[in-house]
Amino acid sequence: MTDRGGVLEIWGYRELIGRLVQRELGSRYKRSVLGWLWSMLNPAATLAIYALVFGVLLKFDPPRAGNGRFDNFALYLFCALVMWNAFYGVITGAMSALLDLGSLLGKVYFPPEAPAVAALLTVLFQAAIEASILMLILICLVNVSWTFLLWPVLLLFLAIFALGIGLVLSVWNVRYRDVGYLSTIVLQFLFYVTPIVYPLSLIPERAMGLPVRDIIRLNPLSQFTEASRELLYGLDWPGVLRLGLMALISLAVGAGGWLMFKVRTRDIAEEL
Amino acid sequence: MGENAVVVEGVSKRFRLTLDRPLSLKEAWTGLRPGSGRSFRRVRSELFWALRDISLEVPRGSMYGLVGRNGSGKSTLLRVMAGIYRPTEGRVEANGRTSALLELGAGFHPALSGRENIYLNASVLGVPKSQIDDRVEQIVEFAGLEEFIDSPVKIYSSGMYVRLGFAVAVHVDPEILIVDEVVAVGDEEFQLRCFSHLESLRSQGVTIVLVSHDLGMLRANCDQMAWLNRGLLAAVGDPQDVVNAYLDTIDTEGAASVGHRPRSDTEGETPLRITNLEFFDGAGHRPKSFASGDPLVVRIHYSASEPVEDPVFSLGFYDHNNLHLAGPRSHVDGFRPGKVDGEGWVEFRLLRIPFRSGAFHVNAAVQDSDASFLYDRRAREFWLQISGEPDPQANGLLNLEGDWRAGV
Repeated sequence: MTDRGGVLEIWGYRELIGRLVQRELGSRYKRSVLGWLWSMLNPAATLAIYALVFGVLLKFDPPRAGNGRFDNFALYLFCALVMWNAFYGVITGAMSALLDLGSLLGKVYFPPEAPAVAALLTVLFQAAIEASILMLILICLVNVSWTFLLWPVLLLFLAIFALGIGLVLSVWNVRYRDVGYLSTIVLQFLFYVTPIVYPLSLIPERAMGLPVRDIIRLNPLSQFTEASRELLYGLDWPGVLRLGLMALISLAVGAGGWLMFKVRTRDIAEEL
Repeated sequence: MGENAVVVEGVSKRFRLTLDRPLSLKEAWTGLRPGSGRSFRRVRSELFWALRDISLEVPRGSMYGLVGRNGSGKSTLLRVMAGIYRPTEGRVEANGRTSALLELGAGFHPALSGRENIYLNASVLGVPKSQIDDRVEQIVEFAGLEEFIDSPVKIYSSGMYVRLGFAVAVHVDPEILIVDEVVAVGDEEFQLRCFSHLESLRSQGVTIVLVSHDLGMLRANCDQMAWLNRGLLAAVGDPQDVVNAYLDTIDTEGAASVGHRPRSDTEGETPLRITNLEFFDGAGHRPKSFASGDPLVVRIHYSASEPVEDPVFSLGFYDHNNLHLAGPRSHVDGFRPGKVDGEGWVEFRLLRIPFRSGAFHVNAAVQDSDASFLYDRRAREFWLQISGEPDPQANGLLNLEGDWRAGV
């Protein structure tokens, strides 16, 4: 209790965080016949729908895979979708976790970050499952390289980036529930201005007098989804400069979000 | 730092009573809200000081009692001590792992089962899982919830909530235990177990901070007490002194309000009034407090505006928890005062006061001759103080003057 508010404190509450993760994972898919299979069926279904609509019907053309032997839109899509799912999961998870556990904050003390961190870990667990399946398929197709090893690092950066945003949104959401509704809309928009269901090359250089492709490229999320595709599908190195930039952005957003969260949650026990 | 478990230094706590809290981003942004009367109204808030400049020290291993009326800031102070609220001014230092039982089902999540909540609570308090594994059965047994422990706590009764909350709070090896007046929800048997458990925790060196309205219990068990009055520290120190000071204000405030209160439960003017109650000892003096076993004379002064034939006078003795202890009535005891008119008094004489130490309030009432019509009643105004060290060997409220024998 002496070091209140530091990273060390959150570490001190790892038991609580572990329990929250366990609870989240345990209660998921309760009372369903297929149970845990849903955690794979769900992303698989999403993937199938997008692949059908954008790959088969709209005929978006994926580039050739890194080994030069095939091209497959579903896999190309999957590489980016894993990233997006993690981003989306962390943000919505952080928001609902604080609301859900907030009532406890008025009765016992624990770091208010704990629910969000637990949500983050839950999402990372899910992302790890999805990524393992994806990598397994790619390995079966002999599309594999050392670049795979860099992918977890990329996911970590994305997690920090998303957590920073999620923390800020979650604390605003306690005050104004509008934030929750608003962010679903914004996230929906974000999904389509990030190259996930389409390759970036499909976007025209200019539209409505604006350099749209460059604008979309500047979206930090695009960097993550594109880098994920390069690492897993294209077996390509994103380059030190780009990786460094992504690291910098995610650390800045993560730290900034955390600081804002700290200031805003000093009296959160009274607000919830 | 060594000898104090909790140090509260100049702590003030201010709340923002948001009368018109902005409920949406638009209002927060513009600071305006469409009002009902005028077209726009500023969103405003009011500041409220729940605690002002509180300083106290809770010695390690002691039991510390907090008293005060409702809304005097007791629970806020406990929350500040437990680190849940941040003091607006001043600082709080808690040296040791703090476990707090602040309200029904301290930190329970309604959708989880009792067992899961035990683990959740323990982890919130930073107790490792391995340690709790060993304790779970003990906790369940203490709470008496063997049948329900795997059901979600939202189906629990309030008594079950409190029992589980208390059981968890005391079984996680706290160094400082903060207990709000929640324990009172449990049944008597459980309360007894709680207090004996608190007692044994204290003997193990656990510091206990306790809020209760049970003044007798606090005075008998606490090492020190503090009295909060409207967010200010009104008295602090020896339990006897604090309780007496607290009771004094209740007494005087009660007396002060008499003038504004209708004295009679009956409508309008009553022919017979009780004007005062006096307590005398055997020598005809009126001491501030009596000793258990002393003689006692309760004199009921009346004033009759018209002659009343054989009214029935009655008294009611209550302890500080409003438990009705005795209710002597004149006609039951075979006493008939005859015709009363004008001013006068009747007396109830007691050879030996059977009550153990504490504050008791004495009600008085007067009725017509067949006790069917109430002329006047005075309740919770007159306090009888029985002083003396509470005998730790003695249980209960009364001394029964019996003797013991053996036989085969």
